[in-house]
Amino acid sequence: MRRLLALALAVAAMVWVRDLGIRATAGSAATALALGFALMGASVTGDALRRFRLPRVTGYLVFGVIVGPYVGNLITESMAAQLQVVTGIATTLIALIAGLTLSIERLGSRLAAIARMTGTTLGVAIAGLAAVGWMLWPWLPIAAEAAGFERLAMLALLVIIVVSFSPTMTAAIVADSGARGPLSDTVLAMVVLADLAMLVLFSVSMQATRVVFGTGDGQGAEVLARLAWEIGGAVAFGVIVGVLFALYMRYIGREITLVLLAVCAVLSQVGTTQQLEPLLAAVAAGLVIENLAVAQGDTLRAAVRRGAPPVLVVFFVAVGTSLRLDAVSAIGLSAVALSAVRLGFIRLGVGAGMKHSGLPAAIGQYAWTGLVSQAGITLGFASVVATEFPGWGNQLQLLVVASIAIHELVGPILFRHGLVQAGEVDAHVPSPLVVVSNREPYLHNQDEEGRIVVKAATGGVAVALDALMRERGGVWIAHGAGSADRLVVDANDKLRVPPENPSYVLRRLWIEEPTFSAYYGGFANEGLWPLCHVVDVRPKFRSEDWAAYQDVNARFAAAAHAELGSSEAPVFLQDYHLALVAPALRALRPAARTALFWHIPWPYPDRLRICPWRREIVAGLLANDLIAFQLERDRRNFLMAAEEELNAEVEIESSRVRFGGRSTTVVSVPIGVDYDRIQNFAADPALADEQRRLRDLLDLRAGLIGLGVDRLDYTKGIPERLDALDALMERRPELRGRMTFVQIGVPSRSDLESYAAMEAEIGRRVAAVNAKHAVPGGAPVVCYHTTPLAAFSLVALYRLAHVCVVSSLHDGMNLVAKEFVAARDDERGVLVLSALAGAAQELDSAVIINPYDVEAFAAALSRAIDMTGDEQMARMRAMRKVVAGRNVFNWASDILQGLESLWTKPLLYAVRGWEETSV
Amino acid sequence: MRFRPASWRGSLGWSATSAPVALLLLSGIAVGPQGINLLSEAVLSVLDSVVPVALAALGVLVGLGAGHHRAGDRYMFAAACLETAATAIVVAGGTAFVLSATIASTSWPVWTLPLAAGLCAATSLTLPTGNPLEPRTAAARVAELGVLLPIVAGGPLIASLREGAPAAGLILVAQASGVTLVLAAAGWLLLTRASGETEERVFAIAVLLLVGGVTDALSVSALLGGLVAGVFWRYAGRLPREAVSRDVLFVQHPLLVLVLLVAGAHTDLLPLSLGLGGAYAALRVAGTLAGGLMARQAVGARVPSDLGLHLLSPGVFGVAFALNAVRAVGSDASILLTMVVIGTIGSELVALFLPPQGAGT
Repeated sequence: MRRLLALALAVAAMVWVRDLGIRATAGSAATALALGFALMGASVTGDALRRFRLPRVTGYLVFGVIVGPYVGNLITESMAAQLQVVTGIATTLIALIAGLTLSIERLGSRLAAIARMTGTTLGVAIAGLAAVGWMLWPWLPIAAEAAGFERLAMLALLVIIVVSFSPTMTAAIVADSGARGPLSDTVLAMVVLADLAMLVLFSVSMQATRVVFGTGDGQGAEVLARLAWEIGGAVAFGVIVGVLFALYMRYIGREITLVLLAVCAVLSQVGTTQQLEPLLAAVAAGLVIENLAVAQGDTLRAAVRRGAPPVLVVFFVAVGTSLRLDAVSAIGLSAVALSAVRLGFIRLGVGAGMKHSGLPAAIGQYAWTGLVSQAGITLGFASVVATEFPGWGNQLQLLVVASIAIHELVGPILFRHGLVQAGEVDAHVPSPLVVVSNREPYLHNQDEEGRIVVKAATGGVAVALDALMRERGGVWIAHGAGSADRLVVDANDKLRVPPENPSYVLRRLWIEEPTFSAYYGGFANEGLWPLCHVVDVRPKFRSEDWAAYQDVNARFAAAAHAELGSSEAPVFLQDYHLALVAPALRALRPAARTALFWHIPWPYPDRLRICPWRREIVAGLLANDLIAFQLERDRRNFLMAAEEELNAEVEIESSRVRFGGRSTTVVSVPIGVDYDRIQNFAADPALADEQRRLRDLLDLRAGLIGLGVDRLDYTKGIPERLDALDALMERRPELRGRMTFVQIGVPSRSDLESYAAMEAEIGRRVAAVNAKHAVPGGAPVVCYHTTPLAAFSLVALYRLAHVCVVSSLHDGMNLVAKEFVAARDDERGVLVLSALAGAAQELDSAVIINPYDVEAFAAALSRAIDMTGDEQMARMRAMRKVVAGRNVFNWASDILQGLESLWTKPLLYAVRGWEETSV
Repeated sequence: MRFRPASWRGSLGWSATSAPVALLLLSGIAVGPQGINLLSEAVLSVLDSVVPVALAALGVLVGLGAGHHRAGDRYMFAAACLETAATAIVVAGGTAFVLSATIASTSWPVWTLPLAAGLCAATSLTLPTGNPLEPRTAAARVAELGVLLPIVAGGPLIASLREGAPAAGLILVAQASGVTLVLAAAGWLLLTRASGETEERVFAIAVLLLVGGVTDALSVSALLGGLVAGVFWRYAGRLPREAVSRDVLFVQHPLLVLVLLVAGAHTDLLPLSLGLGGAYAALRVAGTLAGGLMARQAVGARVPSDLGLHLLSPGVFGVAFALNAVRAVGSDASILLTMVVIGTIGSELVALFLPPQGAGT
């Protein structure tokens, strides 16, 4: 709705400007206005059509037609002419993108087969269309009277233009539908190869046509030389530009997007002025960069994602504005007939190509559907002919444009249908997954009576991964920590879970003492945890802990290797306990696909240097294909660490690190909560009873409830919170007896000295605050509860609280903040959130505090208590949008999709960036 | 007077108060139609259509930064106004005197050229600082705030030149501002609903093109249009502000290069223009030094004692304003552009030989 309102405002502004009168003094009257209006309006229209499952490109064309000089006249004829300035750059850019999509390495042995298939398809289609065209020439609305060589030349151009395909459209549809498989790969390679051939044929035909019509100079050898220059020179020019551009990216690497557009302008201009085929040069440049400069290719693709959308949107609008509906309707029948004949011969050609190529039959059945679309290159050809041969060239352009309109509409729908039929879209047979984590999703314990009870992990991450595993199947490898875990597994230490509906395998790994304590309590929790959190606890690094950490990680890797067997399933590694699994697994299985999510912060380089084995840790992480952090800050810190500690090659723009002959993508994917589950709890009629139970259990008599929910950890800032409460009570004594702060503090890692000391300290402080501010007969100031609560009880408590406090001294994310927001569908309650928690990066409508500034913290609590209902509602509404938009399932699937897309990268990655959003 | 090599290096770097302005202007002259003709009339006519967008983008940057209040800004703003007014008056008065002695008649109202020259001379800013929290000297802050007055005053002046009457000019500015606000609101609506960074970029570019395009189509000040839109986005919310700011900052250097090259290429190297340019440079130096002294007197030690020396380097906005006038008014304003380009090069050279002694307070 907002988008349509915005479009209405833009239209109103355009009308207003038109009424005021366009007064620009230069010849380029209102070019920028036309460009801006085209960009904005087409983006909105494309997005609107996408909701009806129509391609965005169709929306751009439709918008161009509607506002163009022949219908709405909001973009006047002179403005439309100015839009054509972009056409040259855009067609060159499209050709360059086409070159970037053809990775010879990735296509490997199939390339020869695909080339045979392409050649045969083109041969049949060209021959067939030429024969039909020759016979039906008098009825074609081009130049009915033409005969002999003139007719032959015109026909050659017409056939080449009509047969040409659209790499951009085809790639866009593949990306749009999320298709993956041999059909999409083959068709994309085919259209690029075919258009490469068509570019050469077009140059040859243009030269021949110039000779026939006497518009070119020279004869015989001269013409051949010019042709060689046009084709060979274009390829050489393209190769040089590609190499230079790759060098520029490698050694300068600044403002690549702008330089890319400038390069396209140069290719277009130099090509046109020096009689070099600019599109051929652009394809050659793209091919060079993709295949000879792999590292730079990634950077360039990032630049394409950034720079291409506006140019391409304007290009398609420009095409739309040039469509004369009256002329198109007059020529419509011929265009329909031409499209039908083209389609028939393409289908025939694909059939013949299948026999020659030896490609799988499934590809042949639907490959033709991907060869229907036409767009930029075809339009570029037609526009070149119209410019050089006004008269019949214009007629030819009109016919081609009319048939493109048909192909634009039909092509994407047909191709999508073909991909669906080939099982490459929305394939509901998700590939299995291997998850490796320290903690298991289901624990088996024995109760006092000796019965075995199963307990599912309740943490948000465990729930999300469990849901993913239920859907995809596979194996989850984890340390068996339950007292009855060994009793329920089979001889291979496996069992199927979940108990109520077994859908994947849980493989338990047994880690004996003292190795487990050294690996988990020692290196992970006394070393890495304080290293990564900026708090006043010194990390402890002991060589025996490090040895245990290495040993356990190697064991997890060996288990993953065994479970993978012959499968190519991706491996998802969970958290900082498993930093060395990937290198150990890669030693056993070099082609393994692994992603690791690092849940806690990543330290800045100076702090990282505390760790004696930092280089091993960073190198170990770089053995993954994908590393995901919670926050951008952590991602950046890691990139710096890779560069400083290992001298690894860091590509900032694409966020990739090259080290040891491998490339690792580093991303930030903030985790969310199970929003729907919390919503269901919040709407449960039993919630009121649970709230009553909790009031009784916790002795909540006060009218005003504050809440803190934490695992007892020195990073959570609980002493600071108690200090702030103390200061609040000093500042506002009227709250004594009227307000109770419920602190849920679940002990963890109590066997570690630092944790035990902190637990004792919190107990002392709670007692002190209560003693200091107690009111006889009134409610206690702090209610301290150390027993864990079930998720439902927590939601009940969130709904009771007026204020929820998260005061972490440093935290990767902190899901309590998001759970509180998710639970408050009444849009009430105030979240007081530490700026040092990762959640503060997203929930900026919370009351943000610095836990180290106790006075300001107390003032923030006071402000939260006094906050009006309207302000609470506005803040909560804003935060709920954020939390609802990023739940834990998005998080898990984002990481896995990121991992999987690395293998389909060359084709999808090239266009996905702009397709996903606007083109 | 001691020449310091560091000044050379400083004058070639990019910052809020420095850029290789003179070098780029000279390059523009060299590659323009009066030079080797690489930027031929045909090429310039294409680049000219981008100029209003570049100018609007500069205006947007100023507008986005306008709301960031810093400690002591009242004094800085007072200093900026005093310095700007003093420079504008000295240059306008001097130019009027020189013109009356050299040119018998012009096609413009007699007061407009000196006034426009005064406004061009009154700015010393190259680029508004992208990050409001970035530390800057008092002199840099004065330069930042000092650009507001000329942009605001320049809008009606250009419109008056176009319309031939001040009242009609004011009406036109009001109408153009209305259209700009409507477009800025449309941009705000889109940017708050963008599905990703790429879409944000498309919308941000679209709305910049529209703002620049509207001012171009109505022949009003693109700098003022950009300023109006920038201020709107500054107060409309964080998301549009950050999206627009990010994308404008991404292209700021190329845009500045474009503005300076095009301005240089449009310069007519006639003896009269060169003379006027020399006079402009001399008057600007005198006005800036006098303005700096007055500002120091008025606000005390909050600004450096050699404030005028800090502001001698004329920056980009003066050239941008003159280019804006040419774009809006047509070739009638080319004498202004030539005078400002030559004067800017001269002022840069003077600034190079008269560097400030301290970094300011």
